[in-house]
Amino acid sequence: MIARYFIKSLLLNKSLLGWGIGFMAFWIFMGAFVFGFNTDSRSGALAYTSIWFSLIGLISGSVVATSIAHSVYYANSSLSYAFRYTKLKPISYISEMMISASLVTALIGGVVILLSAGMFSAKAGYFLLPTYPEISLVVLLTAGIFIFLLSCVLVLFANNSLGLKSISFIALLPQLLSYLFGFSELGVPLPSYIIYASPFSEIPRLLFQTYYGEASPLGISSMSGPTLNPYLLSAGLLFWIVVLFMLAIYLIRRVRSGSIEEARQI
Amino acid sequence: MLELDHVSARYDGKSTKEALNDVNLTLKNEKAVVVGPNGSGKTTLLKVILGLVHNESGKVSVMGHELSRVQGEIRVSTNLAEVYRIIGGTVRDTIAVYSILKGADESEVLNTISDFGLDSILRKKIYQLSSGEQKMLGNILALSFSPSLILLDEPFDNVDQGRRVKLLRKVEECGSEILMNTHELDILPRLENWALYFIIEGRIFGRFSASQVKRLFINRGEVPGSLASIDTSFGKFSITQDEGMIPIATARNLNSIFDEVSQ
Repeated sequence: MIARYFIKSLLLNKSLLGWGIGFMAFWIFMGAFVFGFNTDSRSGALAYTSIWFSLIGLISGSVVATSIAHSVYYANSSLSYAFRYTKLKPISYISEMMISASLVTALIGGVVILLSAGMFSAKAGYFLLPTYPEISLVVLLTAGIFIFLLSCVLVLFANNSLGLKSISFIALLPQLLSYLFGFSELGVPLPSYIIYASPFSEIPRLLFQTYYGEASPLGISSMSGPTLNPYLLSAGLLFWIVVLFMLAIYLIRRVRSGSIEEARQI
Repeated sequence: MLELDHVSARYDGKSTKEALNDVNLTLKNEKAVVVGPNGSGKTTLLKVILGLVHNESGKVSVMGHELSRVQGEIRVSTNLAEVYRIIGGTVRDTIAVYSILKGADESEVLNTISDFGLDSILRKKIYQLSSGEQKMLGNILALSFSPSLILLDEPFDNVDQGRRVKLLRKVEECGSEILMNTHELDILPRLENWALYFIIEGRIFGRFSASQVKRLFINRGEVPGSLASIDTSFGKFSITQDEGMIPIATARNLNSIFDEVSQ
């Protein structure tokens, strides 16, 4: 198992910890103390906390994925060599990176749960704890797998076909999509078919449910509309994972060795 | 066992300049050194064998298998630093990972690191190493795990004199097949029983014997009865034995010889 070395490398990455935890703590602080929320109703306060947690959980996962995606293109020559001249197989590399990404996402997610519970409870003056924190961690583990696979597929596609000049933008796409879907839902309710089809909606909706304790309503900011089916949300997410896993294996078998200097923008 | 049969390659598939031009080379239970001036295609030759640069034409066989079919062939190793970047961790972790991937014990690498007095690099990340330390790490990883075929790219570059002598001894004593690139001519007389090839503008000339180098000369133009005739973009040259214009052994590298002989 070389996954433990990936995990160690990720956990010692100051930039990852800064963005994955420090920046998320900033947003949780903003949600709890700057934007403010109505603490008169416990249920309303818990819903507000759950929405923030779900968004921050998604974004922290995408931060981990971006870091890992960079390490995949950085290793393009190493992978090309390793598949020929070591015991490493494409499927085991993707699987071990997937395990690393999901564990690190869940670990950072665990910190996000604690920070959310702590800061929002402090602001409200009473406990606003997650209803099913253990299921939150399972969702975060799964989210880590999805976002890693998406980043991996995008980076490998760029590496193999577009060239590394585009890599900075491509590697950021999962983060951009997380912000786009996450924040747009607060203002513009999306139709249910988009929510069921988009993992960037499925993940926060599932995270919301694990914190709030009840299924997410369609209109999450107004807490109105029909509730979403968590099984369909989970099935949609798993479907994306399977598709992306197959694509990642296909692309990594054809990984092109290239100069990482090509990725330099300036 | 290594065989290159009429292999041609470009740097990135788009470049108009051929990095390798119709290269034929066979290595079977022996060691060979490929000498050439800077930019002659030495590193590209190794990268083609490693699958890092795609050959446009010709056939590359490694350990009896066509390159595209080679998988999990742990008996082949190299010192190219770029292949040891699978993780972004410390040197210690990199050694542990490649020991796992080669199915071997890491103690051999750690002992060799100690023998070369390089224990201080273990806690550093690869990007924190000096060029010489990076080169030595690559050399040590290439020579470890009992490989059958070792591909060495300029193994003495940026390596200090003390380690250079020790490394040369280790390379000489190694029982594996070795294909080694260098632009340094002064080490050739030490490589007894090694085959010698020259590579110039992507074309291979040889085969000679490394110990024969003291008797080889480079001449401007074509010389009747020469051992090899070299047609380059900067003129025609010939390699002769025992007499000629510039004795190869007196120069430090081929660049200086071509500078002198072209005047």
